[in-house]
Amino acid sequence: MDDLYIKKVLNGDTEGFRYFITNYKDLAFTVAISIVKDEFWAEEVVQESFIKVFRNLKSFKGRSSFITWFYRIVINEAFQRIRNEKKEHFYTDNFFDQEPTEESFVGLSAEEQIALVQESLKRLSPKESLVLRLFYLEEQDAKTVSEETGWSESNIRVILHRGRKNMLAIVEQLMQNEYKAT
Amino acid sequence: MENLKKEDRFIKDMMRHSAFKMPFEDFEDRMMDKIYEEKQQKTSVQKSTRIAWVFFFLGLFFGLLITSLTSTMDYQLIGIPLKKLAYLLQIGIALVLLFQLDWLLNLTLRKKD
Repeated sequence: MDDLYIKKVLNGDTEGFRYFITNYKDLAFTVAISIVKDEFWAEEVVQESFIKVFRNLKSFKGRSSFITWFYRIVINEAFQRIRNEKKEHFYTDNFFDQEPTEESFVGLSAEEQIALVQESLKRLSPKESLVLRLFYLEEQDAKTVSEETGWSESNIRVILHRGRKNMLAIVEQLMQNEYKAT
Repeated sequence: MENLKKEDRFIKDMMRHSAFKMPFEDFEDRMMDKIYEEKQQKTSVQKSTRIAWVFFFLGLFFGLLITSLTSTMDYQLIGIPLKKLAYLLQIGIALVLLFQLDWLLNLTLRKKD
């Protein structure tokens, strides 16, 4: 389906580009917010990425899938954004000694679970939250993540391992501090 | 091993809640407006590039005409024969044309990429 719309847009049907925006805006936003951690910045990253896709659609040769190519653009744009802002972020790191709490997590309401997970991901480093999302939410393998990010597969496995441990620790910490009473 | 699998499954369950929806309802329409602007800009750059090529060739034609005419004229300008001034004129015109050609080629090739 992507190929069909790529051809349409290249043949001058600009309205055909809406297909990509409709189908990929949420995915792009999820990836962007993993890195920039701010809704407004993420929106700008997604906008800039779609414009880049439109500008460079002719140069897309189909060597990888469209979505891999698109992810690469969004990821580069998001990292570029945080580099440009030069803001120092302090992310939670190294809580390896804390235990996961599956039972208490399941006991939370759906809204609480969503808020907890999203807050935890916000506190992870951009690389860790991005890799966790691509790996578990998009169910991509290390090779695909490597194609999209440009990082080596072994590096991705290390980030994934650290991300998993930190994520569980942050969830545990947040539950102790904020959700215990509920 | 069992613990690792349990941990993996737990993370996977949690990560189901990590998807975001674009929170700005008008995003799609605003984005399409930007795409149309981009298209319009692209079209206007193409048009300007074509016009720039036309003026380049006009400049080339008149440049050659002027340099060939000045080298055949037997006048003097503030005591300097026009034929001698023609060399300076030829160098000037050649430099301008070379810079313009380089700029136009860059513009045209970048546009094609």
